Amino acid sequence: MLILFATLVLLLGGAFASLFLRRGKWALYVPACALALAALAGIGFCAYALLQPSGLQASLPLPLPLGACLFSVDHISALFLIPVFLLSGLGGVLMPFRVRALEWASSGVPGVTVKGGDIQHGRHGFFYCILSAAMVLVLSASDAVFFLIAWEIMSLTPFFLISPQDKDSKERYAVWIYLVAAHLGALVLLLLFADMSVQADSTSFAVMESFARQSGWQGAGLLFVLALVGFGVKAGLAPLHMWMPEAHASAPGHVAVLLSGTMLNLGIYGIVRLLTLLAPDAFTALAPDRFWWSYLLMGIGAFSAVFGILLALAQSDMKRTLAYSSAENMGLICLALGAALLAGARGADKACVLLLAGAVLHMWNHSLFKSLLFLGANAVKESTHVTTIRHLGGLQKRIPLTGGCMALGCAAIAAVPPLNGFMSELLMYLGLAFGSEATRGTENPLIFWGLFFVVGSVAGLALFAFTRMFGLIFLGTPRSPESLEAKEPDRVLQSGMLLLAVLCLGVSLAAPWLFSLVEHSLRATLLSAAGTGTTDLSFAHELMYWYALAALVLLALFSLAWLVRRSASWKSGPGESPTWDCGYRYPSARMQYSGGSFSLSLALVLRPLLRPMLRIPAIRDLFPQRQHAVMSSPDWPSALWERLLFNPVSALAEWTKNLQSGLVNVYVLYIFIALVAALTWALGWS
Amino acid sequence: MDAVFSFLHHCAAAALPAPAAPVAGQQAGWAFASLSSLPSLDWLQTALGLVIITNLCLLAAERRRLSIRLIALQGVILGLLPLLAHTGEVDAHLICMTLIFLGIKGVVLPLLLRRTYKKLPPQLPSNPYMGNTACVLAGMGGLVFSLWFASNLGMTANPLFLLMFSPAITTVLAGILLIVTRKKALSQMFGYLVMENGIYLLGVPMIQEDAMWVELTILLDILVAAFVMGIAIRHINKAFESTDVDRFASLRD
Repeated sequence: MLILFATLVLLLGGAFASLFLRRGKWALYVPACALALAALAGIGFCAYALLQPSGLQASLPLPLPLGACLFSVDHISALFLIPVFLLSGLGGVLMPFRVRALEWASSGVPGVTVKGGDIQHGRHGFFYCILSAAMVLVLSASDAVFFLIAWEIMSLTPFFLISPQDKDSKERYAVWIYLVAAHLGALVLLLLFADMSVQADSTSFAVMESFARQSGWQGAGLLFVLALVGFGVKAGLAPLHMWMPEAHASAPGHVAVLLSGTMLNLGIYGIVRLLTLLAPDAFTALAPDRFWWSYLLMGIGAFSAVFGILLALAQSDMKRTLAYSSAENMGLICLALGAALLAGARGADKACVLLLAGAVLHMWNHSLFKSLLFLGANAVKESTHVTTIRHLGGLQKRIPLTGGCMALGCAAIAAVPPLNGFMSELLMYLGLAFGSEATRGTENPLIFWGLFFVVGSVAGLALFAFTRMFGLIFLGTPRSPESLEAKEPDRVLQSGMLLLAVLCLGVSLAAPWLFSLVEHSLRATLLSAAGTGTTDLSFAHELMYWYALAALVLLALFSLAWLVRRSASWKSGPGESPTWDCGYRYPSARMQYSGGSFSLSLALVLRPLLRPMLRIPAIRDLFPQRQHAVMSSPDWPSALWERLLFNPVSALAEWTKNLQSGLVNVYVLYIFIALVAALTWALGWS
Repeated sequence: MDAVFSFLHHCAAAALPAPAAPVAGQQAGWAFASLSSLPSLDWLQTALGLVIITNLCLLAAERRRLSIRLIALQGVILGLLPLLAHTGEVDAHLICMTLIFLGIKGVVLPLLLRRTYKKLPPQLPSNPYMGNTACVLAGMGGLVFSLWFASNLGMTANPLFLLMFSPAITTVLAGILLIVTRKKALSQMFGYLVMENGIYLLGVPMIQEDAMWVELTILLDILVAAFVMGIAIRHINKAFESTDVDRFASLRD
């Protein structure tokens, strides 16, 4: 536990050192070093915690207004802590270089920063460290009040990080949306924990858990729904995702890594933690009257997955595509959790273990490949200054390393075997199949097969979406002068991307061992009530070994082919020739597939879900003028929220401005009315 | 105006027994049985009725010169109240107190207001936010409210308090109404003074318990406030070239 405190002290030290140094490069290098050291120590700590038979506890005698500073790191926390440490360390190392690149970009001349318009280094470093520390605190807090404080700090700090230059009005809008969404979520959580601590008469998680075992919660269903809403906002599950595309698309690369790679996971962590608090044996023996919890989780997960990937498919901005695909991946994890609940309740232990392990592995994988993709998108943006897919193209020849990393990331996120995304989805498929087999005789096999179909089709759609993104950006010919002059980013970003790519490959090769590790730690925590050794998963392990072996073989073949090709083209050098033009004499870059035309057919088939808006001009004249066809797919759940909730609230708020008229008379009138009303109420109606 | 005044006289006739009217049954009997020991009950009731009438006249008054005179009249009546509400023998302390109140409420404050008024350049009277008749009717509404309120108050230890209560609340409400409806800063100042008079009325029944000292301190604050307002109003006039408070609306964010 001392190591955990040491990492926290390091992070806080880095934060305040950065604040103290204020400007200059050391204000960024010091927190970067602190983050890197904390990451190393933290990953070591996680490994240690996973090797312990049970969780680690500690408390600090810090005075809190309510509750206490209780720390507890069990296996679940440790599983979630690993990506936090890994990515905050990586992002921290990248931070000084990213900030410098941002400043260069704003000046327009490479190597030159504009005075006055640049980023406040101290502030940026400070909040980056604080965000990392707060995420660690959230995962290790074992007291409701302490947890909420950490949660609030974690929710608040990205507000200062998303738009470091604070110039773009669009970025500013994104930041405000983020802040509002984060606080709506925090409000719900506040309600939830307030009710729980009143019922249990304590704010400690341990006491709450034993309270749940002994007397049970009143209104547990409502509490569960509150938790799902509060944490679902943070996880970006589909109807509650409105902040995500804005914030993730605006954040610079190293911040997006933290936001997308780790902070979303904490939403999932919250749901899992609350499940263990509300029903300690949720994953082994869920009461029959609580089956709807699992149905709800599965429903939200399925909706989020399908909807997220469909909107990702329709985006014209690269980073927004990535943000919507986060909603998809969080949906898949949520779906697996719900299915695991149901499987556990029906006694399908095998399915439960497989689904949970799949969810955890997918969470890790998502952290890795989404960070990789965001860094790649950042590199593309840096070299071309655009993120709109319409203006990019043909980048593979210009920035091959970025292109290669992005290709790997896209393949991984689209669950192409045998990369890591496929490995975790494989576990989900297996789990769903076993679930349906074990629950034969009830109505549940249908649900499991339905989810199987959902996961499969989402994987297919993801393949489509990321083929589109990668193909339009990196293949073909450049569509704009910016993409013609693209250059590779600096070495540090390159090595960051390479590290993540290697980790993606590593996870796919090490999947069998990671699966055993996750299974072991799940049995120690969530599934501790089920007797050990009752389920034999050797076949799954065997399957994973085979796939890992296949991955190794494929990797070897691929590198062999690459080497052969490289040596063959070594002498002649890469040539550039136009795409096959069907005999047309004057081909231009505008003839290529555009984002809209690529996804048009699918958008039309899935019209009820995606609700695309098409505007295709009809050609009537003999000599038609230049015209444009436009397809857009608005985010209709967000629009629905806007219409039902945000617009009325803002109209009401706007109206209340009338109360402040500036006239003394009116203010006194308010006092008058209040006085008469108070007197009437206090004495009149007695 | 005459019509209004004749109407007010009728109202006053109705209002005089007003404090007694809503107090029902046995309670009223008890309250006024103990009040009957008061040597000057009739005078006291007359004075309270006059206070209510001056309130209504102030609400009806359009000219500020008239308002200042009415405030002076109300001040004199209120200054005499400690003497009228007193039950025991008249001692030097009481006389001293009465003189102080008479001096400040009846003489000093009206003189201060008059001085401020004279220093302001002559201006057209601006339309109030509520017409005079409507103001008077609202004041009557306030009177009804306070009577109803007093009837719901229940038993109090001090019967004098019950007698004073509804005129006091009427005066406070009339003061607030004045502030709300008038546009000129000086007219609003009248409102504050009338409001203070109402609060003072609530304090009078406590005269035996030496609570008048508290009143005296409040009065001192009001006196200072009148000075400050006098200066402020002149500065407002300089800055905005008017004492209409609706010009302040430009100060809001």
